[in-house]
Amino acid sequence: MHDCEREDLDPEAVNTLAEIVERLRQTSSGGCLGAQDEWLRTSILPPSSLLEYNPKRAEEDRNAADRLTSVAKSLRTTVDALFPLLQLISLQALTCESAATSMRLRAGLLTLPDEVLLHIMEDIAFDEGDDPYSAVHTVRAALKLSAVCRRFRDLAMRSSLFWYRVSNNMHIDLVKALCGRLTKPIGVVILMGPIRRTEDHVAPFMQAVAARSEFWTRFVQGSEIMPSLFSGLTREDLQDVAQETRGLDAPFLREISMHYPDFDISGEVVEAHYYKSWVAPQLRTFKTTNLVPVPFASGSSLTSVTVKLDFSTADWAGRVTESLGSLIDFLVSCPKVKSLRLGLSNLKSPSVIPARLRTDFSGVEDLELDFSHCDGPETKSFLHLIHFPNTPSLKLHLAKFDRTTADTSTELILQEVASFAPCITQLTLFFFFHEKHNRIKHLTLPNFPRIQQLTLMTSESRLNISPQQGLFCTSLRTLTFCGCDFLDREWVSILLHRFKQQGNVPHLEVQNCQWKREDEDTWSWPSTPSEAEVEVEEDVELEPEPEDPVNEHNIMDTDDSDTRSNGSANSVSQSFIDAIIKGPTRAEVTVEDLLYVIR
Amino acid sequence: MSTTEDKTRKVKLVTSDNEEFEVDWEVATRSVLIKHMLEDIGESEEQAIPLPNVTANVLKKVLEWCEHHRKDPEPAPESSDDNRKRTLEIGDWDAKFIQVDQEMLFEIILAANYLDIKALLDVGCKTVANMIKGKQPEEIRKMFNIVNDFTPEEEAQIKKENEWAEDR
Repeated sequence: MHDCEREDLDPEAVNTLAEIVERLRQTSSGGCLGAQDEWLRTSILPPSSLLEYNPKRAEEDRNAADRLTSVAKSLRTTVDALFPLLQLISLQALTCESAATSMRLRAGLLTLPDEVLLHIMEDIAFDEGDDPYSAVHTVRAALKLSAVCRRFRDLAMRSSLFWYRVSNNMHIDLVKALCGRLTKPIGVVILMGPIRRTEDHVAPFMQAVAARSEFWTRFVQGSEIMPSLFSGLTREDLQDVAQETRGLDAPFLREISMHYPDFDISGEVVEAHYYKSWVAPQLRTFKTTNLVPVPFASGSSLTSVTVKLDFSTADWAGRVTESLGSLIDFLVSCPKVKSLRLGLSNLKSPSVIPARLRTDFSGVEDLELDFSHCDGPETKSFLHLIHFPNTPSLKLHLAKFDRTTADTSTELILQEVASFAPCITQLTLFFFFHEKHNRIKHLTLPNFPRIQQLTLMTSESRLNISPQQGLFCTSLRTLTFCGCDFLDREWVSILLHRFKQQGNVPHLEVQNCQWKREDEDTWSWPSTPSEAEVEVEEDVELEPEPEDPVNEHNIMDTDDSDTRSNGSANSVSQSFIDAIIKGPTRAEVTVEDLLYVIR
Repeated sequence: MSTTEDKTRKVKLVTSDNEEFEVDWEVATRSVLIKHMLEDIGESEEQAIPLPNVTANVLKKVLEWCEHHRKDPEPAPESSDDNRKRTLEIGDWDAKFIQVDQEMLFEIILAANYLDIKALLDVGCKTVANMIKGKQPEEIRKMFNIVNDFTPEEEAQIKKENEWAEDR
């Protein structure tokens, strides 16, 4: 089969070309171009001759000229024909090259074992995430791959990554098909507010997935990162979920994650607690946003709980009281919890904190508390209700956007740490303060006598952190600055010198920090730090200079043991200011920088 | 866990075409297969490790990768959670390293799979994945000169599933 409609070459040109090719073939090398000049000279071009009067020869010359014109015309036609021929040959070359590439690629695929080809297919199609869009994107891409050929399809069907997430934003027939493909407990069920309200598909979706609940491992409602993103479940939707999953048997369910944009529905509708009736003996993780969980039978096996409550949407103060009381009741019902993360936002006056006795949570090992935009007295009152007597690790997030340069609320919360978590040895303080005029916020850290590892994360905050007067963190072994975008040399210097004077220079670590530039805020530099800021009070007994090999090692690289023991406030300040003048600005912070600061 | 002695040790590897390579222990043990074989043969430094599925030119390339990544932390054991974290991004050095002809690309993938070098296998697989990603089934068939071998019934089922997936 070929395309006869295309324009043909001139047959005369083809003949001329054939003659040229034939002459080329007959040369000694089988393609000598030089020989063609000789052919032209001897066979076509007439020889030179004397110029004598000879009309007969003149006639012969005219005839020769006509013959040459004819040959030239024929050659010209051949030249014209060569263009499409060149294109044709060029195209054929390209086609062959492309086919060769295809054959090499196919040969490559043919040699790959199934598991490697599946690895490639998963790289192509898998879109990570617990959100409905990632699930749908993955299924779409996987279905495209499975439409290539039978081997691709067989492999795609075998992949657990492609089909393990089902979401109610998928077509119900697709949901049923995906549920049918689950053969082991890997399923993740994602429930979100319907995109279109034209049809009721929460109930059919829950029916389809509940029928395969023996393969569920995680159940996700809404988005943890952005609770408002996939909201929109109505009271009726929640009633449907509760009805379709009443007494649900989920033997491999490990995690329930439920996120509401506010308390509107979650605080009013009893069906928001549809998980209460589920039988999930392997349940370990429970995460909620703007939903205070209620005690339920399977909750007794939980080892990790995350509850985030944003009280800016709480419509009445009683909601706060009720929520905090219920939250503590729920936590009491989960005796095996080792990892606890509580996030309370906008806990502000005039919130009424429930009056009750302090509750011990002795099993918690990892504690993370996030108080964003909370007032100090209210937060302190809440902290008086909880007690973590054995918890060694605390991550404390404190965020506030306001115009003040002093932050008594934050200081109040920091002072409570020793009271509600007395055995903390690892403390991470994450500060996120923002003020549009870039004013420096001053913060005094209280003494944390038991802390061995302290991590300071200041993000984009303009901070001046100073240690409280007197002894400060005398047990500290490791001090880490992490993710500090505007680290201030002055307070860092003062902090480090305090440790040096106390004789407990900690091991220093820096991760992704940058020094603040002088011109990046409106704060003016003091000429030197006041002695009161850097000197230890006279009546406090200093600990001896470090003999601990760990600490010796920490500052060994500075090769400056004399100044280590004799550093004074003034010399510190001067060297520090020298460092600022000479040193690079807005530069990455290194451990060497910190060691230089305390020389 | 590797010891200081291990790190100074040399390892001999013999390819399918009988070429011998002597490399540092730290480089050779990027391959889990070689690491296990070394553990099996113990302290014997003279004993060469035969690699019957890898030719010299491919091993040379693989060792170039291992040399560059000799200090990388050991990969975490497989878990279902790790499987979820997949992107098609390739580091700058790896991207340059893997700019080879198609034949060598697949040879490297096969060698990485055989030698059990997960990170190198990932680089190779991602490279092939990047060639295919975003293409329609027909384009993929054309790219690899693959015939559509579905029955009409299967075609109908696939079409239906695709319609469901595109519905929302």
